[in-house]
Amino acid sequence: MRAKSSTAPFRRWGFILASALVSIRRGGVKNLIVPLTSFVLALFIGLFGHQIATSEDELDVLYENSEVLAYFTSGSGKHVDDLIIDPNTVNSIAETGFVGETYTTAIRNTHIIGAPTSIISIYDNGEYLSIPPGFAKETFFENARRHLSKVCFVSDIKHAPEFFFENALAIEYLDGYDASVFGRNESVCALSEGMMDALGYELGDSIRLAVFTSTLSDAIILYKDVTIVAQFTRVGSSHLIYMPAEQANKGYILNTDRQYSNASQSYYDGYEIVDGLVYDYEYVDPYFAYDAVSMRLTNLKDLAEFKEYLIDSGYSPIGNRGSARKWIVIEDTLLNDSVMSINRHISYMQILFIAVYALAIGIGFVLSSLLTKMRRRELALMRSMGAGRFKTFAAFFIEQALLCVTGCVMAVLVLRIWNGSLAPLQWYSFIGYIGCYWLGAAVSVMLMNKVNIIEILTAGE
Amino acid sequence: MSILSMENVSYTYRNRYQTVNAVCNVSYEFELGHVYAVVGKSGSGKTTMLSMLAGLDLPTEGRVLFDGKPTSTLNRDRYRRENVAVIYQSFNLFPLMTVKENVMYPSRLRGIRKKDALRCASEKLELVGISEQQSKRLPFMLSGGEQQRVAIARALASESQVILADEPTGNLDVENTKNIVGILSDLSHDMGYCVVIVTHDLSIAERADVVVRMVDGRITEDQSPHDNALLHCRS
Ligand SMILES: Nc1ncnc2c1ncn2[C@@H]1O[C@H](COP(=O)(O)OP(=O)(O)O)[C@@H](O)[C@H]1O
Ligand SMILES: [Mg+2]
Repeated sequence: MRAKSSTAPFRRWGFILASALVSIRRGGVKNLIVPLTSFVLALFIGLFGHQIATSEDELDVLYENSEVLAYFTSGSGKHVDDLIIDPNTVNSIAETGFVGETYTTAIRNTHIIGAPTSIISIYDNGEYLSIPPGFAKETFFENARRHLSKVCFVSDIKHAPEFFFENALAIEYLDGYDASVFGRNESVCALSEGMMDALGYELGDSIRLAVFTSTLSDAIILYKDVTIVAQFTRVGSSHLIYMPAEQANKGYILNTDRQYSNASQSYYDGYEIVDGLVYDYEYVDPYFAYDAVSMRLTNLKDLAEFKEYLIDSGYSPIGNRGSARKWIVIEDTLLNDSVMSINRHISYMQILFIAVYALAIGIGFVLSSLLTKMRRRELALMRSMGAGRFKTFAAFFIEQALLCVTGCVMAVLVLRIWNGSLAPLQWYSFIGYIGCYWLGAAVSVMLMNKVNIIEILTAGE
Repeated sequence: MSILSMENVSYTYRNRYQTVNAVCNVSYEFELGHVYAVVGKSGSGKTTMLSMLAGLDLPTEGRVLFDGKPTSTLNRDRYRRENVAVIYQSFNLFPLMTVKENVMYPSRLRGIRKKDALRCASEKLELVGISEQQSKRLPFMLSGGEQQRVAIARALASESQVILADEPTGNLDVENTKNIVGILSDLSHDMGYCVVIVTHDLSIAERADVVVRMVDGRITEDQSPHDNALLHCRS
């Protein structure tokens, strides 16, 4: 009756497992201590896991819903406008993937043709602009730059420098328009209430603007008819006219009235005069630069990466002077504070986690030792009958391992009833807990497995 | 040829406090179909010798041979599973297994089908006079004598040809002792087992075929059954 079939090893191990189950079944009430302890510890682990998972969700929500603005400033950090920001720079920052929306402001000198002179321009003689006799061209443009009312091409009026540090933008739109109008390429504008009153305009009126872009060597003068679709309460010191950003970037829809064109040609001889451009011609201003740029950042979780990118690109923190001589302020203090407080909570929970895990190892060891200590005789008997070390280890370990898992399963069931479904983190933490308990139990059984079996077998004779 | 033999076997316990030569240069041969009684005072090295025969330990010097092969070269777990069975004075049975499960243990450990193991166990239990009823109980419900009979049944179920017993009747009354020794010697004579019984009970020695006397770790004499009377006189 020698057992030599190939299935014998499976039966041998199956027998070890079956014996462990029998032993659990007949082990009596004292075996309950393991599942009960396990249940309590696993419950704690599950609750901590729940806490951490919830906090991590909070963190995700925070990252997702937080508004973090970044804006270009002067080196002192005090000015957000009057800067010269290359659109290419703005584009390359936008391409990093950290920028959700970019709000640009480009300011141009303008002249409202045919408007009263008081507010608009000292040079406005009622008809159109002229260089008064005796003015050098450069002086003229310098004066124009200083004194003409300015038009701001903005992608979002709320983010224009005038309102940047104020949170209250009071603006009234013409029926059928709202803030999104600045995101579109339409020939519209917003004027301050003061300007409207002074000029006697109403919402819906059309005005004609002459837009100057002047540099030392060149000047571009554009005529433009725009509809007033909004009026706002002025916050800044000068009267600004707001127009959609697109209107600055792309070619203007030019006035083809020969009279003005010719007139300007004759008046600004020697400067390039924009005239007769076709409607859909893409006009790129070679000197185009933004005066102010702010950005709503996304991908906030990896903001550190964005900062690294900025530093690599030569930007520097306020007060320092980087090679690029450009400064960007990232308003993430609020976010950082919230993230920090949630993270503190998470790490607190993680410490508890580690404590319970350590406890699990200890308890696994102690309980297994207590429960198997009085069964050393059984172990010695098994060994004397030819069960190998590994089999006797398995016989006792499987018992403790199963008891622990039973408690853990009960905890899982209770938590499921209580909390609904479990977060992946909780599952991992249960597995971790079982691992720790098993480790403790394994060490204890391993130590027991090392005892001198002859001494045990011959003791008490 | 002898089934189990010792060649110049010595065993020394060494620990921090002392060195004990428990078995000194012992040579002996055990044969199938015989009952051996190992007698000697407490501490004379009987248990130590038996442990080496049982493959629980190796001699410090010399060697133990099973079927001509030194136990040091054998897989000793397997040797214990298949070649020798040991019965101790007490606590021989697994307390959480029924009597029948206890007897099935050696077979199951060897990977024999449950059905076959069960049949074998019933057979052996019947052989030692344990009823079907009793075989369903847990060991603590049986008397000491019955427990030792179960231990014998389990030794038989292991299919080993050698049965080693270390004071198997030490806790039993005269009646039960007689019974146990009777079973063991019947097994040996009728079925060809080699039975080695360590004892200081001279009534057991009387029923053995060979009496091996140990003094201070040495075998001083071995006597044929006819010399039993002599043994009596001396002790
Ligand atoms: N684990 C041990 N450590 C040290 N000495 C031991 C140990 N076990 C037995 N001995 C000693 O070995 C000798 C033989 O013991 P043992 O074989 O148990 O004798 P017996 O079974 O004949 O009573 C004794 O002197 C005993 O004290
Ligand atoms: Mg002894």
